[in-house]
Amino acid sequence: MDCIQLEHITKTFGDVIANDDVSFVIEKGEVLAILGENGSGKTTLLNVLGGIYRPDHGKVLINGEEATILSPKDAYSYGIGMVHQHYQLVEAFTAIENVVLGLSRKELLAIYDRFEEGQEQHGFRWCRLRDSAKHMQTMCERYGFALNPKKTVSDMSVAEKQTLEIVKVLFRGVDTLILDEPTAVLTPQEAAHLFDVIRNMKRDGKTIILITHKLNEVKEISDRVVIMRKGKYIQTIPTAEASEKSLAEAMVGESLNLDIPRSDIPTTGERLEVRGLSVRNREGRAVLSDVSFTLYGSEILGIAGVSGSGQRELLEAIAGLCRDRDGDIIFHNPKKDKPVTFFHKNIKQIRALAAEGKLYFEGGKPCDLRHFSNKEIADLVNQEKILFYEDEIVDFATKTPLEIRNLGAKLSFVPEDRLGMGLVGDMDLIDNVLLRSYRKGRGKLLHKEKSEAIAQEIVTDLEVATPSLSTPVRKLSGGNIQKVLVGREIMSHPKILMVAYPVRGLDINASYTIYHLIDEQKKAGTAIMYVGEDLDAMLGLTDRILVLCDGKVTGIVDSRAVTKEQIGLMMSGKTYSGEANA
Amino acid sequence: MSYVVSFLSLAIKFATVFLFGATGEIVNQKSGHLNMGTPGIMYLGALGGIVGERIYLSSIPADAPLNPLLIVFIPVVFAIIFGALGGAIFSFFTVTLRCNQNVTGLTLTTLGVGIACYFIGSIDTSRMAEAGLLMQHAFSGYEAAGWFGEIFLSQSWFTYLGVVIAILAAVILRYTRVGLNLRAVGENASAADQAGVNVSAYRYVATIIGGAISGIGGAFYELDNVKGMFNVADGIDAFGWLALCIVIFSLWRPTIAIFASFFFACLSVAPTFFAPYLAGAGYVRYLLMMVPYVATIIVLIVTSVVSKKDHAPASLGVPYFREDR
Amino acid sequence: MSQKRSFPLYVTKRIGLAKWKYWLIRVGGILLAFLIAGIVCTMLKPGSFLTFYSEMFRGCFDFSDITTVIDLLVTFSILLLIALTLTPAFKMKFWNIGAEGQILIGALAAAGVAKFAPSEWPNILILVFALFAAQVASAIWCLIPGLFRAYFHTNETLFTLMMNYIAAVLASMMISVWIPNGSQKFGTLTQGIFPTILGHSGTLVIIFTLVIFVGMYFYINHGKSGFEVAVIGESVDTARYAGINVSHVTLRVMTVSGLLFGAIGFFIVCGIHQSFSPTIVAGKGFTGVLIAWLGHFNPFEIALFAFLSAVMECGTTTAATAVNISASRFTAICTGAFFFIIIACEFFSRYQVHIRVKEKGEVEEA
Repeated sequence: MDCIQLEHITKTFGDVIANDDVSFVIEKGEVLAILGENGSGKTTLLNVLGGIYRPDHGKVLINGEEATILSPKDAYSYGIGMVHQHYQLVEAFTAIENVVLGLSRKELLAIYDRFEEGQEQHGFRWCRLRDSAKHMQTMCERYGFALNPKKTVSDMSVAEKQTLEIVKVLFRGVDTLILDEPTAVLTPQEAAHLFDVIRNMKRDGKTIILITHKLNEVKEISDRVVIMRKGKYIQTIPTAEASEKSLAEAMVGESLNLDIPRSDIPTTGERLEVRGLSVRNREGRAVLSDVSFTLYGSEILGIAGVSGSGQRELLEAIAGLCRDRDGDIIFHNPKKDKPVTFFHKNIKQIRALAAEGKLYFEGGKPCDLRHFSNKEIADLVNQEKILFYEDEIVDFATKTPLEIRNLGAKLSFVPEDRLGMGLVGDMDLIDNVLLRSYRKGRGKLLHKEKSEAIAQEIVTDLEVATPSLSTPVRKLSGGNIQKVLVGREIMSHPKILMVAYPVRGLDINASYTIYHLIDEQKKAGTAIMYVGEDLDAMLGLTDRILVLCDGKVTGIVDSRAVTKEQIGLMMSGKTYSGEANA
Repeated sequence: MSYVVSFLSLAIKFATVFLFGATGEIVNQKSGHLNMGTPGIMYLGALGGIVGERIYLSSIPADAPLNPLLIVFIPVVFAIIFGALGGAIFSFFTVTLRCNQNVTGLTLTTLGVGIACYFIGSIDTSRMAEAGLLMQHAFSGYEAAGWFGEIFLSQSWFTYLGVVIAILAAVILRYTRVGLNLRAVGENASAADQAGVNVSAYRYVATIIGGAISGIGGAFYELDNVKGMFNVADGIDAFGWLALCIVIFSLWRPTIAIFASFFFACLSVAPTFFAPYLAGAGYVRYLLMMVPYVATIIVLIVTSVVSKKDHAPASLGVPYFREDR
Repeated sequence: MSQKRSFPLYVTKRIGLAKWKYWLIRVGGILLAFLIAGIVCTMLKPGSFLTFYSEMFRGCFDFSDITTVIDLLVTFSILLLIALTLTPAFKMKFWNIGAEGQILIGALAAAGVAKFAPSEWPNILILVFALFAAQVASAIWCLIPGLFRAYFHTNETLFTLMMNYIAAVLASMMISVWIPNGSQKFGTLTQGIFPTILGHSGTLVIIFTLVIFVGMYFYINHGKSGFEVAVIGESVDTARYAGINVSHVTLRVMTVSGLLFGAIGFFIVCGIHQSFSPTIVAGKGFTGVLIAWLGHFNPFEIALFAFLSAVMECGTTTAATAVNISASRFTAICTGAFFFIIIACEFFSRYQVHIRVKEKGEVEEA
């Protein structure tokens, strides 16, 4: 019988057991889904099969014989190829250069033989790039790929890169293909196309192993499902016999409430007005062009788009992190009828505001501070006797992140790259909380007491699992890292909260904790921008969705009145007429 | 006119040292190794060259005529061995032991300079001046070709070897499968590994070959030193560092490195060449001596200000450990 | 499929190594390094193995002649100061390998002031001026690459390196201008010098070093500026998001480096040597780079490695002289070997080597 058997695979990283005695069988010609939450060890396990990791114990049997897979090259020799979630492509090379990379002349000729079956061979055989390109095109036509062999990878879209990865693996003549979360970065349409390709490959006799945590994909494409939980093998079910609910419960190990919270509450006035925002990247290429929208308090605005459509740049531009930008980013600080505080204004600024007629005394009298001494003003401010007439208007477009913070604008940003941008991996919880406030306090030395209290509060309130406050955050699990980051940003009581891919890499329970936290903030009046890749979750959580394609807005729609397919079309550039009016 | 001719001729000779260093370093860097041990490796190569020549000179009778090919060939072989050894040490530490490349490189330079200077100082230099004179010119009768001959045909075998190696390196890097794999290792080691390229092997081999090439440069400088200071190896480290800059200047392309080396050689030769004509103004000589270094800095600044695209291999200086992902 | 032969050794990452095991590996490495220095010496001069160690000890800890010990401590002080000064820059991933030149230029300025200050000035005033001049000169030398790195991302490694050579040429040039007789000898300073205490003119340097060490400890570990530096070193994006202006911090760190390097140059000229030459820093700038790195930017570990390097340097110099081999070259060989072994130890503390035995069982080894 043709099959791959995994027997008692165990792989540990230090004290973390990624795979614990996992055994199951992969049949030839099937589409096998490996279903598990993030962190359940499915990628690690298949990396063992793909030659990336070496198991501590256990073995792989291929057609009943023990196989030694010490490198990806060994895996290829057994006909196993893997497409990783993070594409393994050389950006500076063309498609065909990536495809032939690492192949020896002998291997190339063997591949050519496959393509030139039945043709007579005469004399010296060349293995030029153009010969390989010719064969690659033949193969692309067979499976329905559209790929130019001479295109440089850095110029490719995400979908093209994925296609190239699959082509690269197929070119080597593998018959078992491992796809790790292949739809994570695709539009619904692109995902559908990928599934067609998978069906084509299956018809061609290939075995496909699909690593995923998305239940609908499992149902749609797979023949059998292997379920993993916390590094352990749980069970194998024929897909036809399972429902999404039963799969979810098997995956998580407990019954679940999969309802995403969305409080239906009225919005509370304009918070942020973006007009004609354009951003160029370091090479001077436009990554956002002419983006305009308004964000309200107590509202969640979803930002949808294929990854790299400008979501990141949009948030970074608002946070003041992109320098090369045009357009207005107007912040409405909800100060109307609120007292002036020393939190973000000093006496001099208060005098200036009073002179402009922007302040009034409690009771309604216009505030004229010319005859008051500094001490008198300080007393009045501390007693909250001086109030604003109107909301304060601030233009972010000209400000640096520090200036924005000093204005008391209370803008919080949970970036997608948690350890690369939000937190410092090698620093502990206290220092990471300190990062937002270390400038406070007198003198040149740091004052950690307050941060320590806040860190403790985050750990208690959000149930962060950490050995201590002085553990480097890198050592925490993805979910706990995210809790620390979101917790730190929420603790500053933001007026605007921007979150980018907040549940990426989190298990289901952690994801729902985060969704609830975001909804709580909305109830507290915060204006929220939410960038995500899971459209189902976005449709459930947000009030409106702004769709970006190539840095342009292709529509702003009401989440309650739009379908996933419509969003998908907009993500690929089709504008949608049903504009939402919030 | 004759000044210009002899200046250019001298500059080309000098450029040879840079060219070997730069070509070796390009091969290194294409594999993702930023080898700051190049100055040390060039010193080791110099030691190899001297050792090789001593072995040859000691193997023939004291009054026997010197074979003009062997006095080049044997030192080159030894320089290659010594330079390759330096490269092997570097890759053992950075690939197998996964040490930081900067630290390993600097330590290798310290060690290389120490070892080379110690032993070079204790080597018997008899007949070396004779050998040095003999290896000055690869072809006799170059004078017949006028100024062209004086400039281009009067050089030693080393110079022609350097150009050939540079062109060969360029062709291999650009047009062969090995070159493709090597570039992939330097650009994205993880992707190369996935595609079945043995990253460690490529880094080892590239660094060893690069070291060997750089080593020849050191040997040439030491052996060609006809003024007779064979037991002093001074200033090779400066050439090694300048070679690193030439790599940046030539955008990691050995063919451009040929011209870049020549350019830097002109700057380096100028102070010694013009010194006799500048008698009286003592400090001008020093200002001229600064020129190659200042020029390097200007090159660094200009490349950083002008070029938006980074031509360096994308994973230069990044170690690779498969399970580190 | 044919059965593949696998390489018998393989490596995995070590996580959570006990502190004492880590130090055991390091101490083992240090002992090995000293052993190898002895072996090298024996290879160069057969039969000198034991002499080497006794001479090495005598060169460092000869308490009958207190100046030997002070010599060691002075060498230690200078190495420690250089490594500490480099630490903030390294921590923010600014690879300044131009310490050599940055110190030299400070030394040059100090030497100039000390030599040409009016002789009626009190010594202390000359010293203050020399220090000031040295700090200004070094700060400029540090800020030039700092500015270009901060605003144009110019490769600072090669930039600072080239500045070393320019500084060396500049030093030779100034000597030839100051001493027009062409001898290129600066001569001994008669004014602007540190007082001789305990028979050694560098004794005060040791005391200053202690003060600077305490200051740098607080700057690196407890200061706001040190915190910013640490964040930038971990991730520039995180720093920018936290509102840290990376360019400004770069300039600030390079200014601080310059002020300290200036002081070091001043110590060397006015305190230790009371003279000047273009090679007066003698490669300590590069040794300092390695010490800072191997000390993991931790002031106490840096102090340990600075001390060991000083022992290596003073000891091997005495030993080489005793067995009659070229001291400076021999010291370079020993220092190189020493650092190679220490960096190799890093590997064994971070990774684990396993031996795959033919049977299914596996044997582990540290």
